[in-house]
Amino acid sequence: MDLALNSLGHAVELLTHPAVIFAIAVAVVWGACCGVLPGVGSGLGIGVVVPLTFSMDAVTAVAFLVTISVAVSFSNSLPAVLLGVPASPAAFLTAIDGYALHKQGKSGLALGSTLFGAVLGQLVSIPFFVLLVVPLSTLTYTFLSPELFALYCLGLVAVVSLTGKNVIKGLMAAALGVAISLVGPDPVNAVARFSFDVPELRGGFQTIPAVLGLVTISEIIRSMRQNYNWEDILPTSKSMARFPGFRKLKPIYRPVAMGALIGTLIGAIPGMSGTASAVMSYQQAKLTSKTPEQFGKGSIEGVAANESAANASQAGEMVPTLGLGIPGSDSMVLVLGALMLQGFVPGPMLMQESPELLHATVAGLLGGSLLLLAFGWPLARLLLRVIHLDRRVIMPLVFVVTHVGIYSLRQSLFDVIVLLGFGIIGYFMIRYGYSTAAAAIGLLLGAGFESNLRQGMLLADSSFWQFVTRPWTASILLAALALLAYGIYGTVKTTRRERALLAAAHQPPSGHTP
Amino acid sequence: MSPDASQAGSELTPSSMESPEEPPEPELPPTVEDPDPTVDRRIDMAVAAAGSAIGVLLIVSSRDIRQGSVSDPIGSDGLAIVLGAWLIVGGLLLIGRRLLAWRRSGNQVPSDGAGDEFGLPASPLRSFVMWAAGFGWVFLLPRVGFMVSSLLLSVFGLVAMGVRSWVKLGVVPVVFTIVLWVLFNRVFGVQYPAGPVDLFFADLIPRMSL
Repeated sequence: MDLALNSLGHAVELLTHPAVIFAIAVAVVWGACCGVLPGVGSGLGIGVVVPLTFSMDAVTAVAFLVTISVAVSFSNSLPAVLLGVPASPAAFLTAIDGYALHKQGKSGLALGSTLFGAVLGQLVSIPFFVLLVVPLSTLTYTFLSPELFALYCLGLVAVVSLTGKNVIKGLMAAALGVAISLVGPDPVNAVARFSFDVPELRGGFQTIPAVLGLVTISEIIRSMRQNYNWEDILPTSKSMARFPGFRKLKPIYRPVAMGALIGTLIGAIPGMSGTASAVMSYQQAKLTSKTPEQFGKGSIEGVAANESAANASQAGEMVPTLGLGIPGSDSMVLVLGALMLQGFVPGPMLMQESPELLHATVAGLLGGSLLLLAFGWPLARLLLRVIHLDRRVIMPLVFVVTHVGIYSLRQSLFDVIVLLGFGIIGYFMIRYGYSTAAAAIGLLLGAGFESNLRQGMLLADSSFWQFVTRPWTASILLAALALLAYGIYGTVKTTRRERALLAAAHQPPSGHTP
Repeated sequence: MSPDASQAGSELTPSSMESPEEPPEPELPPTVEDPDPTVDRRIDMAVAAAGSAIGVLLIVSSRDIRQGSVSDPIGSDGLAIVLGAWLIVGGLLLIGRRLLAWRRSGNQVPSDGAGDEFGLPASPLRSFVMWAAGFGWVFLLPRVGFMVSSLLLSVFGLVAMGVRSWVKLGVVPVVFTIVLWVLFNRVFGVQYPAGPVDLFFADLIPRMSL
């Protein structure tokens, strides 16, 4: 409890440092601009600026990256409300209720619910985040290699929820990611592997160029397949209503509190996304609402519950990322990659050895939320202009920035070649249904997975039974197995349902002669 | 009309000004992405085969790994062999699935991946050209310096994306390149291979420290 309270205190103290405040302010504007553009989510938004963080100190860098994800999560609901275009999957339900409210002439109420749902949800989730992440750091000294291996298994199992429509392809992508991490020195004997006589490969692939290639460059290249302007496909509405007043927002307080709790808890489970928590929160709000009939037709409770949970899940995702070193989403992969760039080693020791990272995370969550609370409304007005920026200009410039950023890390042209190499692999993976996020997680966790497995086996006198029957190891491995089974079941079920809906949509109505 | 509606109505689009007594039926939001993307199954199978080929490469290359002094039950090549086997089996399963359904469908089959934006033409050639241009930047950077190589890549990217406005082609890349150079070189202190243009600006703009 002391560490939890200390973290909040230290975070507030960090928010008095001019460099941190400046970084958070820049991150709010950058993240909000990225979030409002359809297709440019936190993955791309963070990916492009990760190279910039190498010149910052670790605390400022973490606060900067965390704030970007907060701002993205807030702003991707604006086009959902005003244009009916969800900029991320988690904003889909906001698009239904928010857009319905907008069409009923209640844009102010819809945007007010969105803003307060998002910001209050984020603020309420911060204490939950601290209370969840701190106990994990106290387990550090009871965890040896077998337990750490089990945790890495849990993290790798999380990729099942990121596999996309085809589980086999998703697991192949994860295997490819782990295989890439094998390039370089062996963790037990330090003998070179898979370097193919290329001197630059003797030390293995640099994590950041490889991950950015898979996640960011691939998406930029894919986006360049089409050269339309965003304005060509978006409605021309640039309207912005007045703020509705706090009295009218009274009904949203309860769904916001519930959404924050659901979002943090669900987001903390590796692999569970903001979309899942948003849907669960929406359903819960509908079940307990006095006006459930308004859900789907323009309910501010629905908008607020959805936004609150989606934003709170950002804090939830930080729990396994910082507490266990297990990233649960593509943006968290990049945050963890940035930490590795700063010299931190992902895993349970992270919090114990570097508590300042926890303080910086809380500062980013808190500072970003407070800035949005104060300036969210005028910022939303500016963001409406960003939606109408020319996509044909932005995409090539983002492409150049990524090259320059990666070169800047070590002044190495080989890193840029790695970026481009993994970029084209990622392009084919995205196009043909192999999850790049799963590959990136495999790449990031692969080295720890192998070293803890092999060192753990040596610790257990080469007895596999002795290795897996250690109490914590067995418990975590069972949890991983359950999550794997549930993840595969959920993915297969969702894919079948989507295909059935599509097939039904292609059938002519009954009794209708062609 | 509710106070909200009357208040906001004056600032809203005509579509939102419909009769308040009969609010319009809410519609599902227009999705930007193609809801039903398809792919060429031959390329899909080729990608799966490439996955299997990587598996084969892993297993074959793992034979060349030298054994170290510490012996453990997994070994330096153990994980590589397991992953290679999984990639081979996964790829073969995917190819087999397509072959079994070969006669039931045409070459265009439902995609497992991300589709293009609906109703707009797409060109994979543009993606590949931009990707190749990235290698051009790698080639040019040590030869002509940061400014010229980055400027050329920006202009090339804009032209490839169909920008034809001379203002955008002339002003945006120049301003963008200078801002990028100032940010990384002058503010963050990153050293780039210097060309003549870089040296000119280096004399003009002093270094800044944060």
